[in-house]
Amino acid sequence: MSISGVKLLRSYLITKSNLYELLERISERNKLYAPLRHGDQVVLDLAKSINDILIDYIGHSTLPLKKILIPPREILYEYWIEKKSVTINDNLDKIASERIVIFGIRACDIKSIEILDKVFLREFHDPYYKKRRENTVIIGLTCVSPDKNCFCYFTRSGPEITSGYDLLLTKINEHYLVDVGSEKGESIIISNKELFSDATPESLEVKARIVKETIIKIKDKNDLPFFNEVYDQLVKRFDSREWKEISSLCLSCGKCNFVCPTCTCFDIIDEFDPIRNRGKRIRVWDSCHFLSFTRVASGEIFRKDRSSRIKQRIYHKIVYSVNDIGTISCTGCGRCIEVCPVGIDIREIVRNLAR
Amino acid sequence: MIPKQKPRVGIFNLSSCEGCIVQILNLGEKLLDLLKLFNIVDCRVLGVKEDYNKLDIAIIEGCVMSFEEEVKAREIRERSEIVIALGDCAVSGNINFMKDITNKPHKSKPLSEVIKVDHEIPGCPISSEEFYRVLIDILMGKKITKKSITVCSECVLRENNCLLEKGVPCLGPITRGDCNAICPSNNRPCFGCRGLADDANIDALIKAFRDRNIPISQYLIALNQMKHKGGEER
Amino acid sequence: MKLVKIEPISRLEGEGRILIIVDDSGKVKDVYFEILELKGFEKFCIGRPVEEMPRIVTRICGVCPWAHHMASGKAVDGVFGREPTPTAKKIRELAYCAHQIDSHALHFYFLAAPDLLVSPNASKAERNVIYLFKKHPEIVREIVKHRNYAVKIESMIGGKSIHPVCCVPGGVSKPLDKEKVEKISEMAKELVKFSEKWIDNWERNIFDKYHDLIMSRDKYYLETYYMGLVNRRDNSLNFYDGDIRVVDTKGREVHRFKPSEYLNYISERVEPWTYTKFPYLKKIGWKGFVDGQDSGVYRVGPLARLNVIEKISTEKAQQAYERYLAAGGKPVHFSMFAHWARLIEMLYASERILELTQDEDILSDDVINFDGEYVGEGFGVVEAPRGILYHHYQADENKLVTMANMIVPTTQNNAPLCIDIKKSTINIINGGEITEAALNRIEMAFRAYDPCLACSAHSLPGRLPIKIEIYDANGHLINEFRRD
Repeated sequence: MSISGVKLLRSYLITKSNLYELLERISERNKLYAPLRHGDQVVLDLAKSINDILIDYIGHSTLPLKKILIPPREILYEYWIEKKSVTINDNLDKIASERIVIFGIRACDIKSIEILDKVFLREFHDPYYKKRRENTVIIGLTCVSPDKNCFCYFTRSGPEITSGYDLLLTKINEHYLVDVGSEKGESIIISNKELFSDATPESLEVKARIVKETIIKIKDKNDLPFFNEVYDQLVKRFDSREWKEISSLCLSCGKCNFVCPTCTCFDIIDEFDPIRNRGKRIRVWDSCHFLSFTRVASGEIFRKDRSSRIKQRIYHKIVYSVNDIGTISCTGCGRCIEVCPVGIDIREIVRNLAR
Repeated sequence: MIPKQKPRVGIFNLSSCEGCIVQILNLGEKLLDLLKLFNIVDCRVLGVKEDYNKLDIAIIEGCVMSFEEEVKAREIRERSEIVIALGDCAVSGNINFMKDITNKPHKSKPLSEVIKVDHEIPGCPISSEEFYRVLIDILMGKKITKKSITVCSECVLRENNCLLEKGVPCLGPITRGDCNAICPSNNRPCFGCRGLADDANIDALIKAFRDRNIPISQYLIALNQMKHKGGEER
Repeated sequence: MKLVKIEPISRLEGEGRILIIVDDSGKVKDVYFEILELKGFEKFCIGRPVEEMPRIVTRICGVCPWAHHMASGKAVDGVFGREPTPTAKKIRELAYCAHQIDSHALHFYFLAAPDLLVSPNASKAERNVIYLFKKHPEIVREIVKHRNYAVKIESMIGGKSIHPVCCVPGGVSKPLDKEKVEKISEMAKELVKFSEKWIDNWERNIFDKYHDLIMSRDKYYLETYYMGLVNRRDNSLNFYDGDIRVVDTKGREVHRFKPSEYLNYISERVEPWTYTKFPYLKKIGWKGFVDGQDSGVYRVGPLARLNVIEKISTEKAQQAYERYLAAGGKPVHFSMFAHWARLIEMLYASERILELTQDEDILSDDVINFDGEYVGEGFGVVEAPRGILYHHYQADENKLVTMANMIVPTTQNNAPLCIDIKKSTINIINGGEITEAALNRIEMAFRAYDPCLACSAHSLPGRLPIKIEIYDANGHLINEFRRD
């Protein structure tokens, strides 16, 4: 939820052990999602025990925060047919009764919420997204060690972030600085005030220094234009020959769309049981890289050519998104680069096209 | 909404291991539902053989590996309204094709090379859920299309450790999904039992293998050549 | 010369054909049994990465893929010189017990039961599970539900219940977790109850109903040798591991050997009129299609297993076993007892799964043993639901297969099956009248052996001719048809 321009500037400090206590308390009344270990991966999942939570993890979760706000497979509603009447049960009441807290979110994912809000809460408010969003508390965690694929600085979505979260934690030596970003965040502090102390001026300086250092780390690894400044060049180079070369590499496997924090495209599936006369309507994630994505009712497929599909993803993030919601959609998290089996890198593409 | 005239269904098998038919039996309660919606008039495995002239739906498992089987397939096609190719053997030959690479006495043919096939249910074995869905969709007159999803994307959805990154030859990126990436989720590389994904880019996968020093099998190269020639996916 | 063909044999895996030759007076002269399917696995596995064998060989048969998967897994362990970890062995055994339940249930309920629960004299239209469902939906519903527990357990461990993926050299690909084990335990409890119920049903109803048929000595009765796996320590029933034990027609042990020694004890005979081979005990010798102490013909499968073991290690199954022996003697030579044996094995498998879920070891993470010196040769033997199964591989220094030999249980039962069919047809088909019911009794012999024809004819070379030969009373070839 946007804070409508009013920044709540209060900050606090909390010790590591108090942080555990806070999370323990939160998990008693809420569904607490946090970074957990899953083999070699970090995943955002329901924390069954506070000790499992990776308080200081490196990098990001495999799947972004969107998997909680828009589940990969969601039953929108179920219905029963009896004689001539139809009963529909959407799961909105159930969603409305859930209280969710997501802990450990990076700036790139926090920024993605702003974009998701713009997609799902404009003229038409997606009721499922809306209910969940209303009941979700975001506790962010400032990134101090960007990995080789991170470039949030160049999409102006990090590492510094000043809105979009309810609370933002930054590790300062043995303490955590806690920035309040909303009333929800403030109320958490108030209900647990014995766990917090006021932030010291030094701690605020340390945070500023950490953020500056992180920016330098990102700039050292990347030589890029700002993604919100390349709109015109990309439009000009739409028919560039380079796309053919890029598309010869692409597998159309769809991973990039699934791991992207702001890819929101979905498909709708209907399942019906003709014996019990009941059915379900289900929403599932989809990928614009799949051939069937642009298949319409007549059977025609509008993006048969692979290069047109790659273009769709890149242009959506940087050009169409601006036309549509007024901002680029790429948050520089680098997940698509990390998972691509053939190493297609959106940074290289943009850098080459923006020359 | 149980139809008054239950569609007549026949289940046949050519050269196969019959695993796909057992998968149908494995539906459990849903199989009993299907028995209420369809009239199975011919199924050797279940011991049903009634007299009939025409079939509404013929489900054929297995690859055509002899002249007799070709004749049988054509006979079934002639008396059936709809023919479903059940399982990878029927859809693309499966391991029977592997046998052709090493020995050439009799060329194995997927069903579509011999008769017109209306629907394909891929996989080795098929997914029982998919089978159930397809049959219900046929009953309801819905148009059936296959999703273009890949095993690779389903694997990342399950947040598995990527086997390709570990240097294991996994065919996930070029294999049709909707199996929920079972094999990689159990730490075994995908070996493409559901057939090629729509628009699979085998060249790119071969390059990906090379870049990671993963050995490239003859089979993959042969498959790629056939795809470029515009041949049926095998 | 009348040629009576039963074609195709219903309700068997794979496809086959029985030919009965009757003379003019209607008396059965000879019975032949043929395979109509060729796979050639042994040939085309050559050159493949040996560690992929467990996933390739499951495609031999979609009804018993686990048997091939396990035997192959054990052979591959041997090739890599790796002994699986204790946890891996337990996980494999658990999954494998689930498969026994799955396969026995599939056979008994979908294939054999329609004969036994309806009547062998009922019309063909009524002797199938679909008709059974119409008449007794609750029974079928319950059977389907419980069999699906076994299927679920298989999927939880092997990824898929058909064509599992879990066996890797030295262990299994993934450990179990507490949640899974708890679920398995709940299902196992239900399966124990279910198996007990059906043994009770057999003992009280079915056995009595068919008592004369089952206990007849002039049909479905052969005095042969028996081969099976036994637990090393106490000769108890074990599907997954142990020593191979052979007993004679009186139940006395005559052989006891390890998987790697099988070639010293078993030879295979090739006959001109079928592609299946006929294994026999080398040291006793091939004396033709006859049973008896002098003939090297042996049987495998549930009947054989319950003859070679001395006890069952789980309580309820052991009690059921004692009642079984009280009725059949030891060794049991009545072929139809195999159905009863299957039910007892189902009970043992259910109890064993429950035992294993309560073993702490099964939750351990240590599921692959990477230590071992590459040997290049391995032998894997397990008890498939239908009988003992051998896999033997050799691989080169690049870990590619150079030789694969597999002896499946159906092949090992082929000679006794032919003898049994002949005996049962000679005494039923008499005086010219061949009723459908009589023909079905012949199929009942089949059902008792539960042959898996897809598995049997797995050797190349490739063409698939079908030969039908008709002989007259003097053994002269009257007519020969060949279809290519």
